[in-house]
Amino acid sequence: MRRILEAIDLYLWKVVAITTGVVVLSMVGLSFTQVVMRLLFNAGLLWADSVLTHLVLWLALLGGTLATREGRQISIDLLTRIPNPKVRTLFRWLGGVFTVIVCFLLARGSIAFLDMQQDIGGFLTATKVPSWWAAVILPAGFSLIAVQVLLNLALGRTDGFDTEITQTEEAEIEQHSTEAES
Amino acid sequence: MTYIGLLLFALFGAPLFAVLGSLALAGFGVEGSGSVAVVNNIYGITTKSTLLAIPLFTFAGYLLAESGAPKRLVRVSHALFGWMPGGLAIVALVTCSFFTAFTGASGVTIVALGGVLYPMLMRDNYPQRFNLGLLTSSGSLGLLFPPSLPIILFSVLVSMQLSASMNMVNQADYDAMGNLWVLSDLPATEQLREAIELDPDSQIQQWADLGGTSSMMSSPQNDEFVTASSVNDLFAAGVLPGLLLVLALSGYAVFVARKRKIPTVPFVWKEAAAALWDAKWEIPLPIVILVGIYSGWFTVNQAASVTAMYLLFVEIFVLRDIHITRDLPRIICDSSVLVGGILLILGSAFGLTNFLIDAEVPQKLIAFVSSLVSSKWTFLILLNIFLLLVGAMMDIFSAITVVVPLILPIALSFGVHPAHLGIIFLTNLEIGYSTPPVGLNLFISSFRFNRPVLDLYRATLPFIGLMLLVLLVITYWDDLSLTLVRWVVDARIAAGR
Repeated sequence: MRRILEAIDLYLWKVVAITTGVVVLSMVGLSFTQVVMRLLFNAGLLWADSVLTHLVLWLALLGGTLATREGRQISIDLLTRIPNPKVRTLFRWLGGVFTVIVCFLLARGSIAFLDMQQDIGGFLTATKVPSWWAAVILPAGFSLIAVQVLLNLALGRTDGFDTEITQTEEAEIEQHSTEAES
Repeated sequence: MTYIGLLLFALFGAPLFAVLGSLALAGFGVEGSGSVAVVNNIYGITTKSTLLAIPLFTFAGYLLAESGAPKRLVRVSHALFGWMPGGLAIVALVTCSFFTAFTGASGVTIVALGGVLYPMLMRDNYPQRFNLGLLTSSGSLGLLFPPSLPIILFSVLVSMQLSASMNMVNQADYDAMGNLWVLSDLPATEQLREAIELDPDSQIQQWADLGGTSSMMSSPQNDEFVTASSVNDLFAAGVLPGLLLVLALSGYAVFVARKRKIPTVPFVWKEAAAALWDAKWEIPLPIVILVGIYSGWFTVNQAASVTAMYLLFVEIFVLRDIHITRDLPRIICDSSVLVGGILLILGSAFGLTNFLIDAEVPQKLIAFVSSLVSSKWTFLILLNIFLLLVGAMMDIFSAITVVVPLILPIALSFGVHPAHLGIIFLTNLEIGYSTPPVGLNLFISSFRFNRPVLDLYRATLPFIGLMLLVLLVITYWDDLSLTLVRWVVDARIAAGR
């Protein structure tokens, strides 16, 4: 069972990470093209601005999913630093279940929102892309975050922040200090 | 009551966006049109064109951090400042500020620069405790310099907040807003200019400076104009206070170096030239950004785009510091983690604003605070104490999202300029980063340098003390923050932009 969950977790991560890469690079490329066209030819692509704003929307939800997986969602972790591991686990579950419920409600709201957008039937500025397509990431993203939280809980992932630093950084510190010595 | 229960989940470590989202759902309703309204708000905010600068600058900052730029920048500042007493420590302060301005105090500074600077400082015989304190507190130094992420976030939130409160039913509590409201039938920019000419010191000027016009001119194009101009203004406001902070800490470094009799190295023209040449690709960046934005060549978004594209090209193809398949995917993911986190809380921040306005919290707070305090200056003392506590307990992004909607109306009612408020706010949070018990820098340093957190508490004390002194200056000498802002605003009005 655990193996299946780990596989799901990994593939989900791959899909999300690759999509994120495409989104970020197109964002940089497209916005730069706009700047160049404006500076050199005093012109611009009509459709670029609305596509760019929607890429930001996509990045918000995809990045949010990645952050969830690494346990690096921005949170006010006043009580989560309590040393007692049992209490910490309890808080992790409380916070996790709460997040799943909120994400579920938001995903449901997003679907209704898409329905409405579809009825209105607008297009992204100067394109033939229906605006509701660009907003598909809303229900998808909130569902992804919810699934990721559940996977984190099931796989017993602790707060990713400290574990991550100890492992990767320690190796780096060593490397830097040996470099500096030599 | 429901609201309070939902807020409790924040303390259990639930992601802030979920807590804010639940507040929004509780306010608008879970079923049918309620939840659609919530999603519509999230959609509206996250597709605002001003937000584009956030992912682009963050990506650029992470590219810088992962490249050889930290080492090159250390070399440059070593060549330029190494001859001074305390030279190497000043090097640390300058490079850390440069870096934080780009990476937004997300801990990247300590990770990227700490490993380079710490062994150098130790080798030059600086006291260990001083080094730890220096690098820990420098981890957030430079937060006040453009294009720092918290500055952009603060400006966007203030504009959002202002337009939200403009739509409030009960406007009587907002005197300054009332003025604008009466005028709102005229074409917006015209009347603003007239109002400013009539009474240059009025609060209308202050609203105009920081996005106060956003709901009056709420078409999408103007929206970008307004928020962008408020980001510009806050960028300008941070420069002098930021320099003062760096100067004060440098002074302390000189003092320590003198006391330890640390030998200075002579200034070598050749090395300075070579180091500058070595860093020729990175050094011009801040200058290009600043000149570009203030000369009207670039908007903030365009500057961010150029920076990201430029660094992508230079670090991968020219300097070959970053490998396109080995490093780039990881860097994209790392920066997206931060961006995703920030954008999600920003998208759901209106949940809190809505709850606060619904429960009439701002009015009650204003009434309460003004019954206690009557002068602006006493208010600012209280504000500082409050923000230091906040900064010591929360990370900067949650602090900005949660506290700005609470503080902004009160601060405005005491006649605090929004840009000045922003600088006070960010300076407090900057100090909070290194303040025990849970300042984030302390933990990052503790991992980075492999020292117990308790050691770092002691090591940072003198630095925190100094920064608090500077904070007092920043708080009570508002011209320090506002001189450049006035200059920028005047230039903009003169240019008719």
